[in-house]
Amino acid sequence: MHGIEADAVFEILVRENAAMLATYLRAAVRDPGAVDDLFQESMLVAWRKLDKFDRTRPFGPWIRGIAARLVMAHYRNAPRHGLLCDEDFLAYLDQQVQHIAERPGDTWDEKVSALAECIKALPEHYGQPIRLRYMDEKPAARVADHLGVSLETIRKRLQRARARLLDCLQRKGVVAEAEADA
Amino acid sequence: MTAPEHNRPDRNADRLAREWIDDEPHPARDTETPADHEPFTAERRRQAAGQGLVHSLLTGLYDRDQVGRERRIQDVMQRIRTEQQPDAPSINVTARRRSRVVRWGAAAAAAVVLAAMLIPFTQSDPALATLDKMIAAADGAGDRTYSIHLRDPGRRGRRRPPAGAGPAGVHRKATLDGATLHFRGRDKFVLIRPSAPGRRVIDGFDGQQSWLVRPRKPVLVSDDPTRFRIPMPEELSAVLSLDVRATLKRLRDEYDIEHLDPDALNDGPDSPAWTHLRASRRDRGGRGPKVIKLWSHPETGLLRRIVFENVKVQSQRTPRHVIIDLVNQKSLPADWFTHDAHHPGDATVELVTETP
Repeated sequence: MHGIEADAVFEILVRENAAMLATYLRAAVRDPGAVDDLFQESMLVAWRKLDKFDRTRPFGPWIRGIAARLVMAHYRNAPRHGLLCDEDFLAYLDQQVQHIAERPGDTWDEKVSALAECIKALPEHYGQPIRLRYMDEKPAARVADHLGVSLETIRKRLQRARARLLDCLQRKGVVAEAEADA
Repeated sequence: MTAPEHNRPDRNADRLAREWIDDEPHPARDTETPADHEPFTAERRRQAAGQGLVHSLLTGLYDRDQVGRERRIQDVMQRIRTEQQPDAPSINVTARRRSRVVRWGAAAAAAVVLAAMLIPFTQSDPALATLDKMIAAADGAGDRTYSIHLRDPGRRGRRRPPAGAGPAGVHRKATLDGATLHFRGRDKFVLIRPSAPGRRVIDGFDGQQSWLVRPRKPVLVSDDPTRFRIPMPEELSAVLSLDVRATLKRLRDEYDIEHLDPDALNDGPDSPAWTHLRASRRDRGGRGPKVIKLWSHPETGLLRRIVFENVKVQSQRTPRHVIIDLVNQKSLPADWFTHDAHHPGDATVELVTETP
């Protein structure tokens, strides 16, 4: 064809889906080292099973399916947090990540660019902990020290801030509205 | 936002979600199963997943570790290519807690995605290929902080006091020796030069305006990116500009490039062996230092150190090495490259419109 090796073509798929898969894994697994490992394992499994991939279907959901199975295996060794992360949890994440992937934009960053606007719209007592935690990369305990409040207060404040951001992203159509239980 | 129902499983789910995202890793605790566990509702799991999603998006938004992202991809491709080799040993798929390639000083891993489509690597000349990788890396969007020092070539490892230094309180001109240089992307910069003790002269460019902050003088701002010329040795100005990419391209055009042995630069046990180049000026009678040495990350091409050797510096009787070292890649405040971040809010700001 063009003399391009199969691995070079697969690299294109890896690059096109790297940000999406990293988002999915980071939402499901806390430890950055584990995210890197699961990213690599997911892509390697996809490479080895490429002949089983239905090429009439998109690659993104398929690689996330592989990643979901690896995440579940990962939590067999960390049952405390696996209490939350089950198939429903991962199915919700899959739905939301797919919703983002279908948004307009050439890159993943473009598709989620509304997040910056949502952060700016936060009241300051939510916005400041968010900036300290994520922009300045301070652990929650240091954010608490910085603001002179308890760790539990900061945890709750961050949780509420993230909930507000999720609401904002839903209003802007970046993520889908959650479906109610039947 | 719907207020959470106050029942025990919900509070446990909320607490677990908070701990999961915002607590430091605790391997011993993470492997325990809470004794009072009750099944969580699907609604609570969705809320926890929503928290995880926003946490992930926020982490990605502020993630300037492009080297880490690129390394993740390169690791995958390396494993694939290794597996394709006929004599490759079987590789354990599970690789936990691999050591990071770059953990040096207080810096996070450096990053810039290779612009392989834009920069044609010169495959036949490995040294030029390394320089091309550095040129591509110079377009990186991440923040970088460099230090600048002048060093007597004859006193390896020992620095003289900054050029022009005098007794405390004695006025001295701003000097490059001991200066700090911040970059964002290709051309935004802030250069902080020490002058009198406790005082600094700060030059910058925010992408649209250049500016100059001086002690006890109005702040000057101009739409001309080159309005405020930074005094530097004439010999250096022939090759060095604050557009890193342009500087490296000038080396490519005017210097012969060769590899030297990789060098860890005493950066500690976890640092990589930096790729080491020597650039020798082709035109013996031309302007610019005769020899320039560069050290860069072996994978990403990020510039770690550049040394301009034996540069004639005004006010110095003998030539000096000018050494520019990468200090870290910590993210700087969003407004760092505007003049507002470097002077009091009530400072006088003058827009300079005429060429002197």
